[in-house]
Amino acid sequence: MTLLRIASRAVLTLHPTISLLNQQKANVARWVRPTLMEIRARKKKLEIKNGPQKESPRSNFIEWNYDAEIYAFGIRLKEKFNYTLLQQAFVDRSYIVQEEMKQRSVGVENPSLNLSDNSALAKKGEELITEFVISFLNLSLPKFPRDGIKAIYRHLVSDEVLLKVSQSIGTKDLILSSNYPPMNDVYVATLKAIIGALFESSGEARAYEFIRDFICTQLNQVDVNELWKIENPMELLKEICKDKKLGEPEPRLINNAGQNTILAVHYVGIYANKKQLGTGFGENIQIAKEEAVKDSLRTLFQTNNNMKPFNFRMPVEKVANLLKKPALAAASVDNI
Amino acid sequence: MVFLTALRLTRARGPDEWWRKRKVFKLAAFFYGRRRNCYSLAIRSLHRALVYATKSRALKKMDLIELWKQRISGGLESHGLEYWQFMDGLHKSNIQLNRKVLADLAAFEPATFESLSKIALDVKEAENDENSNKN
Amino acid sequence: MSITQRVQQWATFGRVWHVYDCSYQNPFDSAKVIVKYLKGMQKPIYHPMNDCGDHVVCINTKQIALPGDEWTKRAYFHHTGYPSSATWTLAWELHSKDPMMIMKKAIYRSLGGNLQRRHTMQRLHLFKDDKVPQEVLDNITNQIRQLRPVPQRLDHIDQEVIDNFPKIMDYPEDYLPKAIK
Repeated sequence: MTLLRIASRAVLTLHPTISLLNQQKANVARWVRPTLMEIRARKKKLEIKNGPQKESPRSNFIEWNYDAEIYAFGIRLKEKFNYTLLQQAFVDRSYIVQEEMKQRSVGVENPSLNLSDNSALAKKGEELITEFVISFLNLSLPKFPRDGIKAIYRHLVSDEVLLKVSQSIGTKDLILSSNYPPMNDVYVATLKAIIGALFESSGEARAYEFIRDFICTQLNQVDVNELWKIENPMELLKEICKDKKLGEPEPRLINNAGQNTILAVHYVGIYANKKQLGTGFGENIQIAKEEAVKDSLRTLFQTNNNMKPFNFRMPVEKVANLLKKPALAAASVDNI
Repeated sequence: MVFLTALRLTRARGPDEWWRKRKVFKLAAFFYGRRRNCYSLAIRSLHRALVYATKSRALKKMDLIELWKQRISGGLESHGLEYWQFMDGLHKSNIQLNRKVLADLAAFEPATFESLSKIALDVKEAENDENSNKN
Repeated sequence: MSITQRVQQWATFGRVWHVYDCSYQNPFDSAKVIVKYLKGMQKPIYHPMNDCGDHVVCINTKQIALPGDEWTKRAYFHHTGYPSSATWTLAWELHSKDPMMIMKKAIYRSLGGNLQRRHTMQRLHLFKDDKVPQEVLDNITNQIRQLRPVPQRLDHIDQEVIDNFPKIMDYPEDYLPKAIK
């Protein structure tokens, strides 16, 4: 297989025209096509024989330089990392166990690797993410209830979101783990560990900026109202109206069209003290009412469609200041 | 002519024409019937198709302008203005939004569109006042 | 798609029912206005391929007013397809046979020819008078403005008002008005 790959690479490097078929060089030599066909046929034959080929780690290739890659990782992100810490951030526990087993099988009595795994860094990173994200959300959505903030936080630190971030900054080939490609939780832990390592190397402000730029930005184009499923919106609206002394909210049918048809549309408004709180459409009055309640809540929370977009350039000092007020910080972090 | 080696017998046939045909087949991949597989038919249809494509680039612009006009007038329906009055008003107020943007605003930003129509309406009323003063 | 987005879509493409009173209206001018609503051209989301047209209920089609001498001069052509079966029906004749037909044909004609025409026509509901079934009436939520005001008829004015109307002369008692041909 490796031989075959080298051969095909040679062909591709020899003939740049193949990748640029539609442009430039008009003439392609006669040997190119049969050669490509042969390579393809052999690849297919191997696949039929051995099943689909496993993805080979980039580090298995000859010209892989791990140190250079680790260094380049920091440079790409424009961050200054302590080399040892960054390397540690990429080491998963499973890799150490695997290597020790290997040494034992060879006959080493007390295997030592001089490597420590990333769990401590990941823990630190997780703490940083929690405190920053919560304060960021509190600052960005001042009118949004605490439960809602929690729901958004849970979305942001969920495995899917962090996995996407981790994969997008190119951790795949750097992670040292027993599996390749790494498992999802390893990706997530690595991202957290990288943040922990950044905190240790460049300080709190840089780590916060990293979280702001890579994790908070995942809220871009996301409807925050969808992240929080309210159990009973009407009850919540009544409570809020009571607290704010707006009066009892009541739904009113504003408009409808084609009510005897299957394409009926109903338009309902929610009024409190003869003031409109919100409106909603629906196929029937029930749905329209629910939508109107949701719309009123969105208006009260200032998370309507026309809300100001999140400020992802918010100075981290502003968020850090909020964290320094101990009461606020404790309230925001403990409740999660 | 005497060939001393067998090598000379082979004819130098130049570059591989397969790649040239491939370019045509790629573009003709969605044609109907043999027109996508037979080169002589494919190249004929492709030439015609490319001519159509060239002509349609201008036609498409005209079609879209017509559609935007229609949509803007549709949006103006509830604000008591006509298309030409609206455009005239915007032009005189030095609002340089094009038809595409205005049509998008009418559909997706009705509140913005309404304020634009109010500006145009003000221009129209000011002109009416001027005319009546002259008379 | 969340419920909010779905409902927004639903409302955007919801079909509104309009009513149009045809009494004393020119059917050919009215048709242009009605067609606009049938095709959804009054909406900023209009596109010829976009199914966003509304319903229009035309009432009082019996009361339409044709301009000039159209009642006697306008002929409607029909051919069954069999030889020598072409017929030309005058407007007054057609109207007396079916009081909705002139309005229908006017709208059908001004819709312009394409494959959508017959489907669009399904959204047109014609009634010869103002007796509209309740289930249709319930759907209506908008009225299209008439193109011109309905004139007042002498026989609809109270006798008292007529009697008190200022006059400069009275006809002599033995006056015979000229017979209408």
